[in-house]
Amino acid sequence: MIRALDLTKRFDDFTAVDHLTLTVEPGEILGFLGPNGAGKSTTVKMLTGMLQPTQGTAEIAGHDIIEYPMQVKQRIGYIPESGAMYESLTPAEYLDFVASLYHLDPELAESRFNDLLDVFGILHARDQRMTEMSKGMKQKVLISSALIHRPDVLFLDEPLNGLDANAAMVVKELLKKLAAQGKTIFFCSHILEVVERICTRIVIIDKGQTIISGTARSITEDTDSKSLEDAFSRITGIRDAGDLSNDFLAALERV
Amino acid sequence: MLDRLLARLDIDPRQFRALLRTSLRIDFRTGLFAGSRKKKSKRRFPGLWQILVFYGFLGLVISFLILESGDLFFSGTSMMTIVMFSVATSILVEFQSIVVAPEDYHILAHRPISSRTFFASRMANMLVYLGVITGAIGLAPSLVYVFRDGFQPHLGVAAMLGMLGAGVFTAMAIIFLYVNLLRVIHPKKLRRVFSYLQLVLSFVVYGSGMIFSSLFNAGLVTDVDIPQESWMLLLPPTWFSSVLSIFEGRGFWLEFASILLGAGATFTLLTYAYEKLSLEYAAMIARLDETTEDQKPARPSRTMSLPMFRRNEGRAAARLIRNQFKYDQKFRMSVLAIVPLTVLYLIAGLSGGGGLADPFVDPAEHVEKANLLYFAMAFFPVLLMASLVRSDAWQASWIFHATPSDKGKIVLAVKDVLVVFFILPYLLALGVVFLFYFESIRHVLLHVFILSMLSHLILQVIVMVNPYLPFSRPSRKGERTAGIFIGIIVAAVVMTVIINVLARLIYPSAYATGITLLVLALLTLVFERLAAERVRTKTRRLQFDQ
Repeated sequence: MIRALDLTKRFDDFTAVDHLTLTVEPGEILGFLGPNGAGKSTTVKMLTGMLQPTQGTAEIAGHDIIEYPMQVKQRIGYIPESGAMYESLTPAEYLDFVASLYHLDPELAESRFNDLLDVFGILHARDQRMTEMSKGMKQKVLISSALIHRPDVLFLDEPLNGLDANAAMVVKELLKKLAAQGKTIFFCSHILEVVERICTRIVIIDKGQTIISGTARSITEDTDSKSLEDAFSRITGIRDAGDLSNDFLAALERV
Repeated sequence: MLDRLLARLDIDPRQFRALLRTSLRIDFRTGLFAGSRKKKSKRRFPGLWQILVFYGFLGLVISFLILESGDLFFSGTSMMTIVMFSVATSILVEFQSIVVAPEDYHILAHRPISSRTFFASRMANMLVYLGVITGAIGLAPSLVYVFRDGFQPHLGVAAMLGMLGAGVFTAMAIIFLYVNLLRVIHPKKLRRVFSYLQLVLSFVVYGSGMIFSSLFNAGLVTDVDIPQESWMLLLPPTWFSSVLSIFEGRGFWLEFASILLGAGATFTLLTYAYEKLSLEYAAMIARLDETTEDQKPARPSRTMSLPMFRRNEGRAAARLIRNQFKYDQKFRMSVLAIVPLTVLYLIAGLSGGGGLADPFVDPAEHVEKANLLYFAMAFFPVLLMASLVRSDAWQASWIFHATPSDKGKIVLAVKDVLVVFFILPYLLALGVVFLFYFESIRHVLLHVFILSMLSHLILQVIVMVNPYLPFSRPSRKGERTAGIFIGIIVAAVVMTVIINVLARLIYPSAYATGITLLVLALLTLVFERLAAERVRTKTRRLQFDQ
């Protein structure tokens, strides 16, 4: 499970995350939403032990992130939005490298990553350098690398980036099944339809603070909106999308 | 056994091996001779081969110095200086990731790796890297030491030990410099500082080449005999060359003091590095890298004034190249590398006294004095095209393929932009220098005009051979160093022939000069047509598929 209490991160005089408190239970898929610059990535970086909180604390799978960062890191899997990987390696080399960092038995790791690559339909490319691969293929390797050590808690930042419809469907189903197995899933995405469909609960943040949380339905009802998308745009305060698109068209039509 | 030792040092052996193996693969797998998608390299580690060939050649040059020099301390100190300089430039210019890479933070920070394990893997990576460089540079000189005066294997061992020590010290000193500069300078600004440093270093590279060749030519290398004095303790290369003196049996207190000083400095810097080569430090760099530095808003650039750059492909090419030069530090520095080369070659020409001489009046004197200067001139178009094709922003070149622009016209427009905005200003600057030495302004104008036509012809040939779109191919480690090296050799050969023919055979006759101008103009026209045709055919096949 994930438990954050009063989590705060300041960079000089800028507060990226401001006294954030949240809990995600095992078996839950939490949709973590917010406009650009709201503090989502900073929150994830603190929860994964990549950044030290300025204030507050968090517990992941029963371990305090400040006191026991190594134990936390053993239990989590993370898919960063940047998709950062060592691309001069092949998928087989990269997954073997990641498995070694988690002390997996090499033979077990190989059979496991072969299976994962096979499920994603890229086993044929296991010995091809990733610099030569499409974005979608690399994303499949990245997802495999986050799952290979069977983590209890998953942090996913735009995991469907670049995936084709079939692969995206596989990942969505996979997340539901992992949650059903009792894994805790922290899911950041801007694709609200996906969040609405797979997340059991949603937290929307802005300027580093929680604005609203609940199920997709409760958020829609509480904000008197037609959909989650509508609710999101209302509570994060952007101008009416219809007006903006009219301004855009007017700019294009200027002679 | 190694596993037990690592475990005792609180280093995770499996993680250590995985991290080391991966970083070596990354460092040595990319390089100039790496295969493209279409043409795969048979070599598994092209970067490694590239290092071995390049530094091996440097080692051969040092071997000549050792063979010529009678003084062990002088040759040893020169060798250590070259090794330290090579390691420093290599780390600063091509392999900054050896010190610390922000990417490590994004990929590794959420994995269960301790700072100590990360540090150990980084150190081991650096040692392997230094081992390869010093091994490549040091093999030939060490053999020369072994066989120069009978059979003295201990001197070969001493040379290798000294070079490795010099390499480790330099690497640690770079970390120290890097870390302390980062305290006061934003990483992006620091990268710019390093680019300017690279420019200064190129002065030193070309300059030392010149100094060595002058020393060889004057027979001075044989005569140099430096007595070891206490002030020499101030020079780090002497700390490591003293190993040679000790192994030779000349172990006086000064040599021992030198070695102790070197070992002490390396150990101190190593301790310092231990605190810095960590994932926390990588996190700091990555975080700084993500934040924007304070910058004044850029002034909007003026529109292109020449008709050929006012519209369509010409405008696009001019806009792109001028702005890349303004904002892409790597591109700008690659282009500006011509400045130190030109200045040093000019100084070399003038160092004998008597000025450059007017080629229309004293061709023999002019060729002798300005020969090197023409190497730089001929090399400039090669350098420009090499810098222009490869870029870190190569992925943005999809735009050429996804728009209805004529790729052939873009390639030709690029050539014109280079002539107008880079070659002509460069030659005009040379013209200003010529004004001081030529007897008539008419001679300067005519000579610069002919040189411009020659430069343009070189560009036309390059475009015909390799019609690549601008900034459309990925950068490769080590390519610049190796590319410049090859370019200088080719330019030197071509220009020696051309300038001798021009000054000695053509300039003495007004008639021959007139004919040459006509021939050059004709050639320019013919090549322009040929280039257009070939570029059109070749660019039709260009795809966004790297």
